[in-house]
Parts: sequence; C-alpha cells; structure tokens
Amino acid sequence: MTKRFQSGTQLHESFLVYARYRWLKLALLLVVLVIMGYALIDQKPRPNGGSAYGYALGTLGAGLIVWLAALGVRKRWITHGRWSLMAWTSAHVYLGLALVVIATLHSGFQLGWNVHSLAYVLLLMVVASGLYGIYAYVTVPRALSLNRGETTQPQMLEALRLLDRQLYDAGLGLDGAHPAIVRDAIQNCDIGGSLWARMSGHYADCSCTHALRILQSEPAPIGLAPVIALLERKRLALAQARRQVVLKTRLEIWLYLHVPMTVALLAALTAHIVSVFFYW
Amino acid sequence: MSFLLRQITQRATGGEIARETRLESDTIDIGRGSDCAVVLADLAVMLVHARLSRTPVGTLVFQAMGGVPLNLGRKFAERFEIATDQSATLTIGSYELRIDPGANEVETQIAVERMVPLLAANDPAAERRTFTLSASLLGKRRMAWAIMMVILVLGLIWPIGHFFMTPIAAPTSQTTVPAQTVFSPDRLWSSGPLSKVHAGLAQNCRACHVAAGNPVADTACRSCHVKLPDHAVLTKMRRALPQDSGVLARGGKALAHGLGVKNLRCASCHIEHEGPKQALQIGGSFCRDCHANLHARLVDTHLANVQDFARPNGHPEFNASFVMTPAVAHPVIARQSLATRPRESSGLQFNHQQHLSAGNAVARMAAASGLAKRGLNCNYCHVAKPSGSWVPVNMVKNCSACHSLAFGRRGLGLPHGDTAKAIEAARESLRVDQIDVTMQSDRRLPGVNFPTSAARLPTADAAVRALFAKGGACADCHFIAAPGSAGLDFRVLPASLNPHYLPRANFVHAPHKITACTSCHLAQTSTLASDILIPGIATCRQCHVGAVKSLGLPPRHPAGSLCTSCHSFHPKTWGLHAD
Repeated sequence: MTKRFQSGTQLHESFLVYARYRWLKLALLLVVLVIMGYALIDQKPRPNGGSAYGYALGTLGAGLIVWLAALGVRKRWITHGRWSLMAWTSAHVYLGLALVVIATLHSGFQLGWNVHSLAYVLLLMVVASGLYGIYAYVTVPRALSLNRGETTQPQMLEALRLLDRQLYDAGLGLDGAHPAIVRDAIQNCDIGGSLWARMSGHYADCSCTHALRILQSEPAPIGLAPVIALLERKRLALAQARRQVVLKTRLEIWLYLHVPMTVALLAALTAHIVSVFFYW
Repeated sequence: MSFLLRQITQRATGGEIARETRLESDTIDIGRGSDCAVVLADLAVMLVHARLSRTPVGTLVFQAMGGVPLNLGRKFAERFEIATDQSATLTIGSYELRIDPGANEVETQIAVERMVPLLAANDPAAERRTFTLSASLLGKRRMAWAIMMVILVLGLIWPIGHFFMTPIAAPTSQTTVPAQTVFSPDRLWSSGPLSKVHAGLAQNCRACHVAAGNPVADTACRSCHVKLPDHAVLTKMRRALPQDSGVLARGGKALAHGLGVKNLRCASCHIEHEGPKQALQIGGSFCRDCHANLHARLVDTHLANVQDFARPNGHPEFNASFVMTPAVAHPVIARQSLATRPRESSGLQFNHQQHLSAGNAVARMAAASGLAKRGLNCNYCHVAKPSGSWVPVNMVKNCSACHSLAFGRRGLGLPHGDTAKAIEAARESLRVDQIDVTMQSDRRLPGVNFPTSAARLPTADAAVRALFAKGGACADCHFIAAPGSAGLDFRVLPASLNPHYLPRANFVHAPHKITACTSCHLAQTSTLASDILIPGIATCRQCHVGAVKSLGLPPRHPAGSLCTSCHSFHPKTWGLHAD
C-alpha cells in the first residue's frame, strides 16, 4: 500500500522499504533459522544435500526458485487489493537474497564440475545481477529525471531534427570543405548504436564534435558563426539524448542477464533434481 | 536557345507538382550557389557544380565546374556532349535532372526532382528503439531458450539417453577395476570424486547405479565384493537399530521407508563420492548407536552393552577363546570371559617361568648351546609372521635344541608326534645297538666304552617304558595315558595349540613393540600351561584411554581407542567358532 496523506496525495515508497521492511525482517528470520538448523542438526557423514536436513533445504530452495521466477508472470497481471505487485517485488528481493544462504547450506559447501554446481553458479549469477538491478532501480530514476529536465524522449529527438534542418540551411552557403563537414555533422551523429556506446556514453569520433573543432579553429570564421552556434546547440542536445540512453541502458542491461539466467537456472534445477533421484 | 526548367515536387498524397521556368540563354549554371540558374539546395553539391551549354553545332555540352566529375547516365566524366534530340539523366547530389528535347528544336527541357529526402522522416518505432536496448542485444527470450536447450540437452537428455542405451558391464572378479576411457555423460551428474579404490569406475556409473530411480543396492556391491561377510544377521540388525525420537528423523525414516529406501545397505555406511581417501564415512560413535544399549532392543542377545572403552563399565572384560578339550582333529574351543579366570587344557605341560629365567639350568643350557646369552626370550619360541599372526610353536623347531629325542647309542632322534612310530623307532634303535655290541671286537678305540656284553643293554620293553615314564623323553611336556593290561601300549594324550585367543578383535603387535612382551603377558610368573596369559582389559586401559579426549590426545591418536581400533564391522572369521 502506498502511503496517503489526508490531502490524498501519494508518497513514493520504495520496494525495499515496503511495509516497514517487513520482507527484510522475514528473510532475516528465515536465514537465522536455517543457519541454526545447519549448526545444530547432525548430518552424516558431513553436511550434504542428501541428508534429511539437506532434502528439507533443497525442497525449500526449489520452491523459492520457482516462486521467485513467477514474478515474471505476476507482474503481467493487473490486480487490485492485497498481495500487490509491490509486495511481491519486495518479497522477491529479500527472499532471493535469503535463497543464496539456503542454497549454500543445502550444498554443504560441496562444489564440483557437475550439473549440481552449475545450478548453484547460475543462482549466484541471477542474484548478483538482481543486486545490480536493485542498485540501478534505486539510483537511476532520479538521474533520469535530472537529465531530461522537462522534455520527453521524442522531444529530444525532435529538437535534434530541428537543429539538423537549421544546420543544413546554414551550411548551404559555405564553400570549400565546410559543406561536407557540416553534412557529416548532420548525418553521422549516433544516439544509441552499439552496446559499448550505450553503456559508456562514449561515441568515438563524433562528427559534431569533429566539425566544431575544425570550424572553431578556422582563422577567419566569417559566415561560420551561425553554423558554429548551431553545432554547439546540437552538441548539447546530443549529450542530453546520449546520457538518456546511458541511463536507460543501466536500467535495462541487468535484465538481459537476470532473465535468461533464471530460465537457465530452472533448466539446471530440473536436471539437478531428476539426476539426484535417477542415481539415488 | 531556351531551356524549360520544370521543378517537380511529389505530393504526400501522390501526384506531382511541377513549377516551370523558362530560361532564355545558351548556357546555364547548375549548383548550390544562389546565383546559379538551377539552384540545388544540397550540401553535397558544389557552389557551381556543372555548366550546361548549347553549342553552335547543335549539341549539348555538360561541363563539370566544381572539380567533381559529373554522373550522366551512371557514367562519370568531366565533360559530356550529347545531341539536342537525345535524352539524358544527370544525377547531382540528391537531385536528378532529366534532360529531354523540348517542344521545338531550340528548346531543351530540364526536369529537376529531389530523389533523396532532406532529412530522415519521423519514425516513431525507430525513435523508441533508440532508447531501449532491444535494438542492440539479442532478445531475452531467444537467449533464454537457447541456454535452456543447451543445459537440458547436455545435463539431462544426453545422460539419460546414454543410460538407457548402454548395456550394463558384466561384473568382474578382478581386484582392481579397469578404467574406461570413453567419456560418459553421466559424469556430469557426479556429486563428488570417487574413492581411490573405485577410481576406475569414474566413467562407469552403472556399475553401482544399476537401476534408474533406485538407490544403490547391495547386489551391485556384491557383484565384485563377493565374499564379504555381514556384521550380523540382517533381521537382527534391523531390530537393533535405535529408533530416533525426533519428529524430523522419524518422519524422514517413514518417508524413506515408504519410498523403498532400505537402511543397512552397504551404501548406508560406505558413502561414496567423498573423495579419494574416503570410502567409509563413519564417525567413531557409530558403533555405539546400536551397541550402547543393545539389550533394550535385542533382549535375547548375549552381547554386553558397550559405551566407551575407557569408562569403568563401558566395555566388558574380554572373552578369550581357549582350548577346553584337546583333540587331534577337532579340539573343543570355548569362549569365556577372562573375569572368570578360566584355565586352558591344551594337553601340554609347560612352565614359562622356568624357561624365561635368566640364570637357571635352562638358561645355562641355552647359553651352552649358543642359543641365548642370558636366558631364552619370548621370540625364541614365539615367531611372528609378517601378517601379524604367530607361527605355531613347533616341537622340532622350538624345543628340540634342548629337549632332544635322541635315543640309543647312535643318538638318532625319535619321530615326534606319533607314539607308535616312536616306539618302533626306539626298538629299532636298540636292535642296532645290540648288533653293534655283538659285533664289537677286542680292538677298540681308546676312550670309547662299549658294554662288554649285551646284557648291559637295556631291553626293548624296559627302554620303551622308560621312554614314557616320568623323567623320560615324553612326560616332560605331555600327559601319558597309562598302558592297558598289555603293558606297552602307551599313548600320548592329544595336545592342541590355540591358534587365536581373541579372534573377535584385530590386535596388531607391531605398534606395541615399545613395551616388552612380559609387560602385558605375565609369562614370567606363570608356571602352568593351563594359565591363560592373554591380558585383560585393565592392562589395555593402562594406555588406551578410550575415545574421549583425556590426556589431551586427539580421538584418532593410536593410544586412543575407537571401536574400530580393535574391531571391524565386517568380521574376519577364524574358522573356529560357530556363534
């Protein structure tokens, strides 16, 4: 539930803080119980997934994995009332972190080059990417708002188009190599593009910067002043759009690891469970 | 000469708009500059790009003016010349100029059209893709499917297929398992490295995991380990297992029972996949699980409860085996607690104290014979085998150096072990002596005394009687049955040596060489062969303080004593006991 003031406005409540950290507390309690059980219950010959406690932890872990993966389904249902998506997400995060402890104790710290440890490693990768996702979801939205100011993404691109048109017109009167430089600055400035460019915000040899550098270093920039001014504005607009891309990438990139690895984990988990009962 | 200039624009809804201008001149300039007759607003066009002129001879000449070759009909050149009644297409930048003959012979039509739009159109879908990653990465769904199929095939389908398509290897009687070299995909299912002795089975999971979905059964183990005996009767062992009281344990056992997992399988104790050094993952307290309070569950057992070797009542006094009735073929051997101070009837007489003395006649005899300097020691008779057991004491090897069976004047030894043969040999010896005496001449070597008459020789009967009488050759060690009325059918009563006093324990002497034999076996005070010289538990407890950490020793220290220090779960049978 979101908090409401008497005026009816809603305050944003992070999924981490949801219900006064209810799911953090539950997850911590679960972890403490599991560790105590591990310490106190004797497993022969040494802690392993095949003891009674190992089977219990394994069942709990498998159930948790399936429920955690079900968030992908839950988030596509529109429902009202209790068990909101916010509650699910909060539980997803904290129980997912508890799952690392449960899976590790279930394994008895026995790892090797086999399908069982593959499932464990996939689980760690899923949780690690999820941790980054939490970090991104907590820090990036504010940066996005700061970056866009009052504009929308289509407006950013529209502004660039307008600048391009004005540059085009301004460049028509130039001679020598300048028209080609201006044409380059209009046509060859990317936003987005390769994964590296999207993540780093670094666009090597940006034609706009290149054009600015050349035109500003001209000894007698007569007639170049409007072009240079337009190029400056285009540079700023490009920077804003590119930063928008960088921030959006940070919000999205972790899911490209998180989701496929979850499916892979489900496959490896199936192989793990079937093989354990196949070669009992 | 005139040129009709038609500037063509495409309508959004289709169709064209043509704006016509008439240029009265023989020469027109085409370029980006505003002073050109045909202005092409494209940054790729030179200020003055081309000059089109009509020659007096009636041809059209196209001349490149901007230093860039012209593209006429996809041919590139600095200058083109065509006839006025010919058509041509000149491509400059994003514009296309179609030159056609005009209405009359002095007119040429030029249609100018922009082919490439000024700037890219507004494409909402492309704009959306700019800001999301889906444009530059493989889709999540596709990646997920791909990885999932790879894992399922490699980790599940391939091993299962291999399992059902590979025949089971026949059990082998070899002591070491030959390793297979072809990679077996179910190795991906292995939960840990195998023990050293089973390492050759690494590629052959089916050697143990015979049936899918079933735990490793004893039949798989016994296909190689054919002769290993059970600890006890299996039904009794099941009854002897303590019942766990915890809910979790009881529930777990019920579940296991319902699923058909039997306990007390070989694999219940011998846990594989624990690494090269482990094949028996049992803690020292394992035996206690049953034996600490066996009577509660097996009320008819004769085994005492055992908690801990060191505690005063934690381990019963040893039950020693000893010969109760000696016999030639099947001596009767009984087991009895040393606490009852049993006595052994081996059928022999032997005085350890006498033989171990450092200064008596035995010692002097031994010294004189060069056997020992200061009295015999234990090793003279009791010789250890490399395996740790003992060579049975043998009369000829161990006793005859002093207890000679030499008989008669020639000193030929009587055979040991067969009374009738010994008597016969004695008689024969006397006959030989008789002949010697009768055959003697007056000439004799100095110093050799021969009886001068046969009458001095003992009679055969007397000799035989003397042999078996007290003080004779046999009665020192043996019991002699008195002859019947015939008078000479002496019998040496059977004697049986005990091969092992504690067959249920694995006692190894080698680590105990730090002390003298007599510190545990009190032979120096034993005068009778019926004494049982096996030490009792109190002697062992002097050093072996039990599994508990007293004296600061770790439980596995050799002077600690886990159950497995002396006992093994799978008993070796020494062939003598029935129970």
